[in-house]
Amino acid sequence: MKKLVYAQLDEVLYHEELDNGLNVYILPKEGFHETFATFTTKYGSIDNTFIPRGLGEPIKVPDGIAHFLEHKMFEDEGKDVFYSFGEQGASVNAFTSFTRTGYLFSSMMQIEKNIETLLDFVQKPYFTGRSIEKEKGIIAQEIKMYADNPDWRAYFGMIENMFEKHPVRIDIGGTIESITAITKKDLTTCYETFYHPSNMVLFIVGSVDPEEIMRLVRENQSAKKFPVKEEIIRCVEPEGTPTYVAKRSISMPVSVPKCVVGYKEKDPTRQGKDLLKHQLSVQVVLDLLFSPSSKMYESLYESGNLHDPLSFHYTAEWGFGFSIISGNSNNPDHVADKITETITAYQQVGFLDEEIDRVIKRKIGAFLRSLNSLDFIAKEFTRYQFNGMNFFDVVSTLESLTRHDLQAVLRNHFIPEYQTIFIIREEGS
Amino acid sequence: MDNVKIATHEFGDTHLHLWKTDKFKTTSIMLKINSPLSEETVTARALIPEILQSGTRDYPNRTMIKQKLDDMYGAVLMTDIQKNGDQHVITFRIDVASERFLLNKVSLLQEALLLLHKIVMNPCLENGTFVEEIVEQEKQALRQRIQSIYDNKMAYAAVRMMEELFAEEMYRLPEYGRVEDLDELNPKAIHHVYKQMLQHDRMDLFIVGSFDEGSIKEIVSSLYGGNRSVQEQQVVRTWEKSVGAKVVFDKREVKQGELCMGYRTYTTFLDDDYIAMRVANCMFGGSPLSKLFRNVREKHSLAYFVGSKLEAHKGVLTMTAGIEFDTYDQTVDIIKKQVEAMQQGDFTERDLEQAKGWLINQLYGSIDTSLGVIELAYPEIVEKRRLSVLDRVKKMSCVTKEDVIRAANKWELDTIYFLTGGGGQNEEAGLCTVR
Repeated sequence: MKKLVYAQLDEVLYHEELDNGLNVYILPKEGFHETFATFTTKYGSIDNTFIPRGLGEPIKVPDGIAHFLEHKMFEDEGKDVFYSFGEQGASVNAFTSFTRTGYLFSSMMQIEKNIETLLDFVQKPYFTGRSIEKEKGIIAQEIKMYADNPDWRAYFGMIENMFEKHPVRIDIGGTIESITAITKKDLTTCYETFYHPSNMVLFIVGSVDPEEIMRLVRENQSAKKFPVKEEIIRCVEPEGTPTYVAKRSISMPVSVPKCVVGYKEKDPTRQGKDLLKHQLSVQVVLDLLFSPSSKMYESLYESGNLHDPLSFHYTAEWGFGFSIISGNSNNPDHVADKITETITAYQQVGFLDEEIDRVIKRKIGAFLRSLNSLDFIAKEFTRYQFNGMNFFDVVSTLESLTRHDLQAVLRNHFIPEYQTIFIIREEGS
Repeated sequence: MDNVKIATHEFGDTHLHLWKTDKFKTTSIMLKINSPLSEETVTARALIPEILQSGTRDYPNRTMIKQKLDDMYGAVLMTDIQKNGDQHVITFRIDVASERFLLNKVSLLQEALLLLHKIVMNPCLENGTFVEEIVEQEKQALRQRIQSIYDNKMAYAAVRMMEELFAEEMYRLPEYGRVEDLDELNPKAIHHVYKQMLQHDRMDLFIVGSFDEGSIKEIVSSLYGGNRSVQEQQVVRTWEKSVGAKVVFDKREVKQGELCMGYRTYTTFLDDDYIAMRVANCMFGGSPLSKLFRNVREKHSLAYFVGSKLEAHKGVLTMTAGIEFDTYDQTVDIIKKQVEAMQQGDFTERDLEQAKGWLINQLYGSIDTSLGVIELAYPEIVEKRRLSVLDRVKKMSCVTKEDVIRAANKWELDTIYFLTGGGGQNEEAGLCTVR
């Protein structure tokens, strides 16, 4: 077991890669009552075409299957996983993203037992035809819930605009038609390919003894048999580089129209330190351009075109990336124009040192604040790990950013041909 | 297991509550200002925190305040407006990074206290009243914010159900004000409500994090030490008796139906039965182990989201589910059966123990954040009673099956609200691209 000390942040992290390939990280935190554990596989909605374990030819599986599998993992022979955790004072949940499926619990008692339960239920699939059919009804309601959510529709509308072929354009939940087609065999194939321990990370944060916990995980894993580690071959169609559709709008029942502007990442192949620096640079630039303290926001606010701050973020994974800026406005086309104008203007004049200082300070403050939440750490840590980045390097990387780094990102990320605009208008307008 | 120790000191008419802890990487300051809900002031009070954030005497616009906050290592200012029962509570909160993690050691906490005081007490004025331009902007912003509640269908359905359920009570007033009041409100009228607030409202200042107690008290005493003429009004509780269930169907152009049902519980957080009521709610619909989750979702596949919660001050339990339009009757029937099951004690000792464990877990989880600690303590501080975390755990552990049955038997269905499809025009083919 390796011990990694981050003195500035007053954090110590423990790590070990087990014989079966599972990476285990433990972050002890004194004074907190709840412990959080996440058990995550590097498998999400984009992994829809791959060579299944033991076969030579790639197959394509139904849209939404990673998420469906996540739901079905909660079925266990003769007992209910929610109930087992409940008996042990824990609450359990799971999530599926583009690139990850994570299972998590939080609890203040029986931590060791809960960790075992977490490992055991995720490492023991149990699917029956009847329960698969029943789940289809539940997930259909989940899909409909998102269909009524204008923010979700705007987010995916923008992604569909941006990408022509990459599976990131497929809704994580799939469609009612695609999930109807899911079979027991599909689920088993996906499970066997992607839930091997060598494709997974276990992360635990809370007031725990790292030695004890590591020993427990080692014992639990060595008592189980797994096939040998094999490299997973994912087949992703190459994506055309500039944006697929430049502008599009839909109508739905909303009280205020929504405007989304996106920039597709031109070079989505960065990993590790490079990616961390790039990601933080884009985030700082977005903040400089569009935060509530920006000139741009002030003028749109004062002219009555925006009543609440714009939201913006940058998503980066191996193979795809994009930044997204969105807001609610009765004048969405004007807001989109202003976003574009602001970027062009800054590309010409650049940033002032004092603006940069202020935003970097704010980002450091925000990161420190986010470390108050063990829940947040538990959810974020694994994404960093899967992309070869270190979560605890955020503050030192932010402190190291120069004006030169930020101006380079301003030129290389915000390229007109990589921009897309998506608007949700009021029904009937 | 450590316990949260909040020490209270009085400065003039302001109550200062301190919890010293090294657990967090930031220190939180929260000022809560409360007065009874009223038709005359509800919308003006909803505007006040927004107007105050738009300019102080020293920082006359939003951008200057934001930049000041940014310079303080991205201190965050948030405001909120809530109903605590029939009390209307305005909250200002500033979070600052703990100085021990920064390269340059600066006194952020002191700066934050001074800034908060400026924002609340020394706003930017014009001819002795709020600035017209700012007020107009904030009225527009509030109008849009109120209208956009409709965009989140689940939240919209919950709001509508509460309006129907409390149609005859003050609590019907939404904490964020009413669109119909906006036209009449001018800077002078709002400034009048603001002056009344400064003079008469109860103020509680919370500070949670690492700090030097002596210097904090000194600053707070100099800022808030003066005497005001606070008029604390004891809330008089009255129960509207439920007179048979009222059913409201609302047809809109939506893809999923949102079902909300409101039950009167006749029990608030001040009642002895309240803890048993929470256990009953947890078993009924408060967790994935609950009757609603197991029956409506797992057994009958009628919903993805289904759950219930308690309103602590007004004695109401509400349940929500997102369902197909045509499963309304079946779902309502299953829900009513779960209510009966709770009332007849159709649950095991194990179910009971699990629910208690779940709630105790949740309690400890909430005191792992500074916000959670304050929100837990505040309503009781106002009512001049205090329960320690351990007392709460003890009380929870003592709840028996009989207590839960007794609590569930107080439930009376008052209102059913269903947001359903069939309103508006048909969707044009090809426009809906995502699903």
